[in-house]
Amino acid sequence: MSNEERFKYLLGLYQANNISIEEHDELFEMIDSSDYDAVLTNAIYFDLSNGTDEDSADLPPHIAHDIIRNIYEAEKNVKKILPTKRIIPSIYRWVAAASIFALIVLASLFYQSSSTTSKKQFAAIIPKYTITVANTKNEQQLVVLSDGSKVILAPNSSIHYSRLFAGETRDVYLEGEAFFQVTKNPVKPFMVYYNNIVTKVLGTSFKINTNKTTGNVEVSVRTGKVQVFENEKLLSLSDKIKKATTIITPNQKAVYNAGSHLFENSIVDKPEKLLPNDTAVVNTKEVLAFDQEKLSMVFQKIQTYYGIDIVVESSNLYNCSFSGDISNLDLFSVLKSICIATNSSFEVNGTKILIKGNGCDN
Amino acid sequence: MLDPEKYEESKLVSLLAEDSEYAFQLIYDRHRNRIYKTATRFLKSPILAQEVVQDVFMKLWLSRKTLKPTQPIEAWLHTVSKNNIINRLKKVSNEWKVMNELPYITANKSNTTENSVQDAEYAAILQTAIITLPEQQKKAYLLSRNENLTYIQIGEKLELSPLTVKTHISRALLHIKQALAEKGIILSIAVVAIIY
Repeated sequence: MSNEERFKYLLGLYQANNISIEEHDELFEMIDSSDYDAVLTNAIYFDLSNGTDEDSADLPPHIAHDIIRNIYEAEKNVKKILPTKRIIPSIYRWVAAASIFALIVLASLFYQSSSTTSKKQFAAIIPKYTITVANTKNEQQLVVLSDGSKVILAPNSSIHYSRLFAGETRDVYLEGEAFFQVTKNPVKPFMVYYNNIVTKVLGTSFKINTNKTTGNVEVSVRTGKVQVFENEKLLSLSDKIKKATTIITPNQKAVYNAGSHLFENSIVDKPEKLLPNDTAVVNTKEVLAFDQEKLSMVFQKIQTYYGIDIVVESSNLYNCSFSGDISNLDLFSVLKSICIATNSSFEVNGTKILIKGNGCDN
Repeated sequence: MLDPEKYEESKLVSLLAEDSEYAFQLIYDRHRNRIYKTATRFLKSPILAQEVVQDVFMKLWLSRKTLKPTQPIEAWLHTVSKNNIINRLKKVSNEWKVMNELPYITANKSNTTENSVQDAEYAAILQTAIITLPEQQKKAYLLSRNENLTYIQIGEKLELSPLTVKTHISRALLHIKQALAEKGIILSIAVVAIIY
């Protein structure tokens, strides 16, 4: 028997479900070698043109329907995803490299929208004998603090701080907008006072910004841990009792609503893979590719990589499997493709992601 | 209403280029089962075969603007299907081969782990290890051990692809081996404690 005849023979056994484990190994070895591609091609064309035995099952109608729906959905998503390709600002890359620093962004919209009385109140709590740096230029200004922390001040913004940070905390008072790169020092927490909220660095690094559409202050964490709370000195007695405070971890954000005095925690708009400091995973740049991997495993990996909890509506979803290379997709695109593949949907529910669907029966 | 029988395929292709979901559905209904059945015959997995159908028609829908009306749609679908099936089969074959080359599987092929388990305590550990396996792994493992079924046959019973079955069994074997090894370590620690 020639090798080609042997291949055809094994393929026949395989197609008839009559192949032994050893023969199966042999056949797949031959397919993997690529030496029999021509034979394989002809065999596939033959079945496509002449049809296979009529006994074998048709594509189930509900699946056929789902496929059509998936195709139309996918096209919509492709259109949606393409224009929003994200470019990581170079400042983030810099911070990723220097993970001992913390990065804070404070923006001014909330400050500007707040009333003049609260501005006056804020000015009142700024200690005397502090250094004041005001940026009156039209470009950003770099300020280096005595502990090595760096502040990039936006135009029309100012900071107040003590030259030596002699107290128990490193206090910085901000008016306007700024980037902070904070040198890590666990025994002397770094505190940013911004209007009536205080942001305290608990871990390694993080970021704060402002939601420009709502005007609310948003604190979002890139790495490490951040505590955000209302400044007691600026609260009325009744509000002091229920002082709002929250702790957020990477890829979470806390939005402070000045009206209700509440923080609402949720997930940042564009979650990014964690930096090495925050995860047990050695290298988060490794390839995230799955081949018929169960969703239980896929979600576990995603949770490790993004630090975001994923909960499923039905545990049957864990039975579904997913194939694909998602290394270069952002989290929400990843979830979209998983949902398309498993006929499910997802929604952001607080700081968790909820996956809805009936799952798979296996 | 269009009559599918009278409609020439070239007209369907032109309609398709004008985003006609009706034309798309007609082509889909005409060809989907042939492609699905062929894919099943080569990939031995309904799920993978469904993915082939989805990939092929996704490609048709996304390239509808660039198809030439002169091009026979059937030949186009067959070429795309063939490529998709062959690529998947090669990927599966490669993983199959790689899995065979992993040391823990070849070691277990001869069943040395189980054969060496002679005393009653080890048998009990083995039993516990099997009981604590995840459901799918346990099912696949027991079907292969007790009923001597091939991966394709187990796959049909459990509605899994042969490769998934193979993965389950490999993981089950790994789990059992680890359970036995852990127990071995605990036993030797106990011995050390007695000496002290």
